Amino acid sequence: MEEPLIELAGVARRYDMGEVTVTALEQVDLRIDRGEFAVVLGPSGSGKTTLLNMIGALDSPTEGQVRIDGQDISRASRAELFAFRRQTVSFIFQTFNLFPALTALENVEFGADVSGHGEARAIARETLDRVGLGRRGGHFPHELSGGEQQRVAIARALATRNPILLADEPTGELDFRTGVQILELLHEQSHTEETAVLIVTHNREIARVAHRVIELSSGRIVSDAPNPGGPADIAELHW
Amino acid sequence: MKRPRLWLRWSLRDLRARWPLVLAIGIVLAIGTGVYAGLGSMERWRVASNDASFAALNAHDLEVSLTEGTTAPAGSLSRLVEGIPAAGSIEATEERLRLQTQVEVKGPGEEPLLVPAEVIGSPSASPVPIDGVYADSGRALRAGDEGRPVAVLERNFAAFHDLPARGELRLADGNALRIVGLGGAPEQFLVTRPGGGEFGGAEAGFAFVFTTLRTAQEIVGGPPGVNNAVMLLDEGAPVGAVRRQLERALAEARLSGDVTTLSEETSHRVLYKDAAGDQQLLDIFAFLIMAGAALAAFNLATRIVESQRREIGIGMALGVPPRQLAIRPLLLGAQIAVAGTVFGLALGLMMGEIFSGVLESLLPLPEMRTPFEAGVFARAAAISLALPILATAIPVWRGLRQTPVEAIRVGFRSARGSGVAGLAKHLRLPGSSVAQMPLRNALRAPRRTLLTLLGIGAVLSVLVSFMGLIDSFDATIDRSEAEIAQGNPDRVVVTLDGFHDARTARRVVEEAPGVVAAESQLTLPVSLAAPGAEGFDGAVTLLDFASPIWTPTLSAGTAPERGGREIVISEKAADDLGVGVGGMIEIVFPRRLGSGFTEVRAPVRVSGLHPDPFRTFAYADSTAAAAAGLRGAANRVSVTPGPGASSNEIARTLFQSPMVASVEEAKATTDLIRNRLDDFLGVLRLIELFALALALLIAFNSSAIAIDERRRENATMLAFGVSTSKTMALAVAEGLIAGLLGTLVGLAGGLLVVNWVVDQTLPQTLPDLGLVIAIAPASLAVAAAVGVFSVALAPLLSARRIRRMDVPSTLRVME
Repeated sequence: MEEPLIELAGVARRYDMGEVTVTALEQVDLRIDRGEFAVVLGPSGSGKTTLLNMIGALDSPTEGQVRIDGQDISRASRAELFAFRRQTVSFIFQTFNLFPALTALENVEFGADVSGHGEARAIARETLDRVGLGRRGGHFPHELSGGEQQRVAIARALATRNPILLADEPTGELDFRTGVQILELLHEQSHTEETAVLIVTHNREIARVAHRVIELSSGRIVSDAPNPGGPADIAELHW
Repeated sequence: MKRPRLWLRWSLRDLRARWPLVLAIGIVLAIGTGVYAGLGSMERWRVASNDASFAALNAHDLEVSLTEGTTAPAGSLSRLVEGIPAAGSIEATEERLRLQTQVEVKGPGEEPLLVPAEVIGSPSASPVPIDGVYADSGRALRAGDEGRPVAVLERNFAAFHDLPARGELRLADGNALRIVGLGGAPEQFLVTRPGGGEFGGAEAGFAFVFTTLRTAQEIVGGPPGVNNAVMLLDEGAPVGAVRRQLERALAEARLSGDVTTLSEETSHRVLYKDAAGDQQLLDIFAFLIMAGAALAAFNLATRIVESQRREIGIGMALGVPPRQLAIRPLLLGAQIAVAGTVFGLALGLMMGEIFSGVLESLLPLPEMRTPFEAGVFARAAAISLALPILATAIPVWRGLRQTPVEAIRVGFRSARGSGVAGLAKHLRLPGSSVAQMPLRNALRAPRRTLLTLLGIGAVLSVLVSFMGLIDSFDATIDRSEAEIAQGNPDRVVVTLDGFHDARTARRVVEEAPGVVAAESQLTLPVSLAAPGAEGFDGAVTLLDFASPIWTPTLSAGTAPERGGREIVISEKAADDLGVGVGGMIEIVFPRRLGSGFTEVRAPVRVSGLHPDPFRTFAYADSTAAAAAGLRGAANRVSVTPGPGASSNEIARTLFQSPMVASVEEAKATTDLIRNRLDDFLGVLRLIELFALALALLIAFNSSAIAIDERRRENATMLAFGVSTSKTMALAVAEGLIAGLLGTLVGLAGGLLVVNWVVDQTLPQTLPDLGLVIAIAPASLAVAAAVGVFSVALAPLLSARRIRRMDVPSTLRVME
């Protein structure tokens, strides 16, 4: 059996908030393979973002093990975690998190550069073209619309060419049309580049296009199954 | 990261977005480093100027002074010097005649000035003039002036009274001298007066008159005499040995007098000691201003970097190595450092110019040396370079210690509500939630609040300590003046030109118009010592403790017993000697022996203490005169003037009396100390202005950053319909809290500094003075106004930004 790209075993994450302990994740077991397009669904506070942060090594589990491409990142050193984030995962945030003082092109170039690609400028141009913003490269984030900013954020993630792409409510701030464009981009990446795409959302409509839907509730996986009838075409979506 | 140009470009964009703040922090640092560099040069300048001035005028190495009132035939002192075994190591000797007198000189006012004076007659034709007299206006004395009635008037006295370089002065005995110039000599670089202690500043009421030796001898009349000789020694000559030989020679010649070195000369000693002592104080002030600026710069730079924390988090999420993430904030620190250093050095140079100007006007020396002090400036530059980089490195380090999730969290600028904020949530505060917001905002970010109030507090400490020291000096002098004037505020003291029969002196003075009552006194130099304590010099006045004219207040103990070996000393003297009432001390005083004096050492009992803050004043019963061989003699007369009679009128009446040397108000000594302190306080007031500017800049910067940090919160309030004025009021209230706490810290810090200066520094620099610590209500009000109102009102400068805020886009989280 081939080793999964992402493997979580008995993962728990608890936060001490003064006198109370908040459990964000509890006993989470999960395996995701290369090229998989998975959606994590759940209401607010169900632990979706925490799960994403665990996989992306932005946070570490209180219990359990997170293995990415065979490497146990829950026991990795700080330096190893930085290297892991550079070379293995890419993030797309709901709030874009672009660098305000860098232009769109520079933001994307930054992603390629960080991951150690030699032709960072060329990759950035190509990726910006791919997301339809080739002519907007010289603009600063505050000069772009929300949808454009999110596309720049996606381009930055894609430019890293890392095997895992994690998206936290990537369409949450966007209108339907722009949201669909974003989903198309992510879908394409998953198919053409064999990138494992994990999208966190509370929008059930988005889950229709995924190969696999994982549902979280109160920090536990309550369901993990392929989409019944296979993934829907993005053109069929509406919300 | 392989693209340094990208980081550089990024950093330049940061600078473009934040240049007003970077500039403002740079200026804050610049004031700190500028003051540090400017003040730090003072001692070196003063020492260099002292050295150059004493060398330029051939200041003596040794001086022989005969006891006051005695003279020796002209040439006898030179022969005495030539006769000692070490005469070969003496390069040159000059005999002089110094006369205590009183002069009348016409000033710009209607009434002529009448002041005590000393005429110094020196040879004018020496090839190597020792203690040369220079003239900075008019002309100096020259060979042809020997025997002619011409003189150079001491320049500080002339400057104080705005006297011209040409004019005439009249001596007490009626002789007149034509003033040909204004100038000075090494012993008068700092004008002190006999009995005036080390305070200098005597130029207001004491005139030195430089003339030729023959002219001085002709003023006295009779066979030419001298009472003073100054010597220059060869390089490397054994000063101590020559001095001992001279002392032996004086004793063998049956001449009463002292041999002193240049370093014992009051002007020389005080100029060098003051340079070091004042520098200690200036260093404290420079340090305080630097600390205030450093804390403020640290706080402000930290807060700017904190605002980049989220971007650091994004970088971490993208896996950028920590050392690369540190580049951008450190470049910001470097920009602040460069701005602070460049402005600081410019300001330091400017302050150097200002301080050297102040120095020249306070201590005018013939040779001023105020070169650029590279070492001091290098130190200041190093501090201003290191500080901002450190200030940015610490929050970067803290940021990188966090998990990316924490760093990236929206609302990153807000504290997490831990620590004090956590405790504060249990506080029951009055008012609505909006009204509670300023205090809660202050409590939820305790570290930031602490840094802000420490920055304000440090600068206010400087202000408070300056004002506290000024007030304390004033209060001390007021206390001394109150003691001297108690019961008889218009009291006048007539100083005699030597020892006279007490009854005769009293009668002569009493007969003068305007005098209601007079009482003769005897004032003698005295050294006080006690086992285990460092002794000091002072003056003991022998008087009648039942006198209706004036007696010292007794704060403890009783008046000395008549005929007993008892003394009244000041509380400060008792403290320094480690004795109380009933304790025994040892005094050294002169005893008349034939035509001269000898020193006598005797144990005496402290019968009482007086509250005058000057430890040099001691009192004994008039019957103690016998122990000094001066039974029935007096050298001062204390006078109660009649209603409307001034000291000047009494002086004018007594001017012709052969036994009167001077007439002045009893509080003249405190006046001259006040004059001297006013000079020093001039420097303090200058620094105070910079402290004020610093406080205002810090207030502005804190406010600007706070508004930036709170922009989302302010946008939320505006979105909820809270008016702009109410939003501003909340910012003002928050500033008020920081200002109030900062002011309290500043007041406490200032008081601590004043106490420290008084307890640790002043005992070395002004050992004779027991400073009364006092801070006037007006000073407290100024400190409070600066601390509270400037910080509280500073947010109003950002009112435009709040009024023009684009609420929807500010609320859209981020970029």
